[in-house]
Amino acid sequence: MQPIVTANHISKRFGKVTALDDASVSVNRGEIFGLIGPDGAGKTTLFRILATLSLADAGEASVAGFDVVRDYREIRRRIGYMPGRFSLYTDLSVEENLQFFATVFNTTVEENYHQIRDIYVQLEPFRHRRAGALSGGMKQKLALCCALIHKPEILFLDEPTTGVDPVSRKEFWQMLRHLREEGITIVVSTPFMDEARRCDRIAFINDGHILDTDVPEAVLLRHKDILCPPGLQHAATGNDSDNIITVDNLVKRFGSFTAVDHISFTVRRGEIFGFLGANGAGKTTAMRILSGLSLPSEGHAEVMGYDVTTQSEEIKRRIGYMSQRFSLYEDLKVWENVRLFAGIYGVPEKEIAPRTEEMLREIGLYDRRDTLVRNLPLGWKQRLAFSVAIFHRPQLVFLDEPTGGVDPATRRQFWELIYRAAERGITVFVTTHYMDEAEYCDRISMMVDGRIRALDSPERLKARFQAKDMDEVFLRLAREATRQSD
Amino acid sequence: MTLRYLIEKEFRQIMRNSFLPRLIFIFPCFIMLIVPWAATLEIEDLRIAVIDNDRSPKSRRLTHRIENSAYFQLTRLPDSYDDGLDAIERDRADILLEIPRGFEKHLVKGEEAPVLVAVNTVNGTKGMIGSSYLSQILTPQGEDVSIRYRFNPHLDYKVFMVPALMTMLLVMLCGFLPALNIVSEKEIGTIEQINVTPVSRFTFILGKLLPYWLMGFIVLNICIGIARFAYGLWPVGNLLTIYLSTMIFTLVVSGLGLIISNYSATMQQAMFVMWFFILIFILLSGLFTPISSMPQWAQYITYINPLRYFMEITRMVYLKGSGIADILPQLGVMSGFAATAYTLAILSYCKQQ
Repeated sequence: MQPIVTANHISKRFGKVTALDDASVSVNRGEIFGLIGPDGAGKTTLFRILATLSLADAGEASVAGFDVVRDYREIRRRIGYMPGRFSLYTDLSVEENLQFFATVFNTTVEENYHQIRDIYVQLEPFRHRRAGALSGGMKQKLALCCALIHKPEILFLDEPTTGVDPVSRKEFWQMLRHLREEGITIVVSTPFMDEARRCDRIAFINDGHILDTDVPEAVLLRHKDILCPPGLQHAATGNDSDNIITVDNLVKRFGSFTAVDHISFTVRRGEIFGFLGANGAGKTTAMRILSGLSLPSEGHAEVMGYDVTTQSEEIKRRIGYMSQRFSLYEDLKVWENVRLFAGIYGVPEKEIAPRTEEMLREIGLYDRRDTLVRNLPLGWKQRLAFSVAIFHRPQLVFLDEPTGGVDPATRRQFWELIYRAAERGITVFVTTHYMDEAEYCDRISMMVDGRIRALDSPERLKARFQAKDMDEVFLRLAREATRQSD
Repeated sequence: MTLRYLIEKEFRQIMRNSFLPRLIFIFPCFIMLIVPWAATLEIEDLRIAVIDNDRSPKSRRLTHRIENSAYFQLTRLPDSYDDGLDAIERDRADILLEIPRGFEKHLVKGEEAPVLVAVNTVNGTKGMIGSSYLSQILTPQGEDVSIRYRFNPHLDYKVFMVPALMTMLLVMLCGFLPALNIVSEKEIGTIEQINVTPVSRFTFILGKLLPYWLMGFIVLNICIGIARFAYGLWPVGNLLTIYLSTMIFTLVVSGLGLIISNYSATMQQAMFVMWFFILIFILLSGLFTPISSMPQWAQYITYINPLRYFMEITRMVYLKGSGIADILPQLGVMSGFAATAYTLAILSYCKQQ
């Protein structure tokens, strides 16, 4: 097979930061080629160079036989590029987005409809809906349609499934397999190892270097310390008799849409409670009510004995919260962020400095305390955000998809922090899309269509559904979803 | 004190911004040094045509006086009114003065000597001001009126503009920046992290307000400095009076900015809504056109315009030397506005949806 994409000794720097250093890859025609590596490794930079959006400082690259510098027009006609974010117009409807991208490439939706039909049938019921109102999974399917509408030979997909639930991810990958059968070459980056295994070949990229290129199993085996770290062991914590959260028939409606539909559950003091569900199942909404950010429409919930409707400020004093949108101040330094939130939570001035030092040493950020948070890699930001959330020693911490978009080793480090917090007696309430993380929890609740469909320890759930892992349990339950609107 | 940490944070963010600190210095300098020279309502070199039907020594003296005036430029001496009107229509003259036959005779007899003035008022302001200049030249004929211009003896337009521009700068900087502040936290997502903390709404909004307060103070001092060194303008009244009223006024506009920020979902929205308010405030403040010449209904509207009161104060203190006692009514009203704006800013900030 002849290579359709080649990159030879590509280097690219942004100011002092080296994004790519002497990187070489070659992709064969008709394969699915995965780019695997931590956040900030240089994946997006490589995509942008291959998609002719960015110029390399050194080295050369060709796509479909054309040089990325000289023949960029030819290349742009032949590729579909799906950037990690912002590839759709959120104020246009599904149909309008598609038509717009077709027009840009001088074609029509009708002309190439067969190309996208399999994917588009799933979107068809919502074709008049604004793209911004779609769920994560649906948005990615639409973005894929838009990237495919001009019949490209090659697709460049930059983390297309980050923040997407396991069911939608499976569907998305089925589509990719299907496109591959039609002869389209796909270059895709992903933080999920199950997706890496579905590629024909993968390249492992770290710190701007391509460290290894081979079939997935070989690469994953050679770099298993980063890509497939061993699971964590943790003695179950949690006190059976003492409930820290009690939820009773909680309902939240947005207009005619019921996001949370009469849920009831309890969380025990000291346990790690996993809150799972597909995109749009209502996880974040429920979590926002419990942390006092949102008011319930009906029902009753108590956190540490305080009512979420009337005593939300009391609750806020005693909890920590880390949202899925990374939410420290990027234009403040590491220690300035710690100081700000410590101050807001009323940590005494004298204690702030010594405790900050202790905390930063613990998470290995002490040497970077004067760095602007903006310049930290995502995994470090997440660890910092978590440590800031528990800095004031709350009894309970809410984590909303805390590990989105980072590699397995980084996620594992994050979970070590969670375990350390749990050992100190902090109750952890966490949502995640990673099923291996679900196994780390003491108990799990599965939300489907705004309701809780199952709640138990991972072992018992697996036994009940006769599943070998949590992934299977999740698929079994999430496929029951009827709420297409998600 | 939570407030201290919040203010610390705001200042760090402002100082770390590559653009804001420069804006705070460059913007006032630019406006104060350039606009007073450019935006002037002084009319010079109006083209005038004089039809002298009398051709007497007195009428010739009048013509010479007009010719020597800095405001007029005698462009032609048509023979008849129709010729003169023709010159206006062809845009060769802006104003027409017809001296009737028997002008001198009337004056000698001590009677009124009527003259006719025709003005091209396509540009209304230019025409109106031109005709009033002309009547000033004509009136000394009576020789019993003597006009003294108080507080701005040379009718220098810059003296009138400089305090007004100061006000405008304060509105722009202390109004727009807070309006964009909270909404930018919304867009980035950091507001969520703040909302989930126990920080009180009162403290949070105060933490947003105080930095802009100080910024207003810096801007004011830059303006006062420029007014002194570029235009030789120093408040006739007490400087502290100006400081006090500026502090109250900045609270009003920053408060308004924060309210708008609370209700807006995007920076765009906040920007346009704020722009709408500021435009109305400026046009209905007496900055460019005197309030007394507005229609009655518009005059009523100016009563709820905080800018109006501040504009009055700066001009009164700067030019007339008014003391605290003279501006008490204005200060009172502005304090009322400030209290209202701050209260609304707190109430419109929701930590829970």
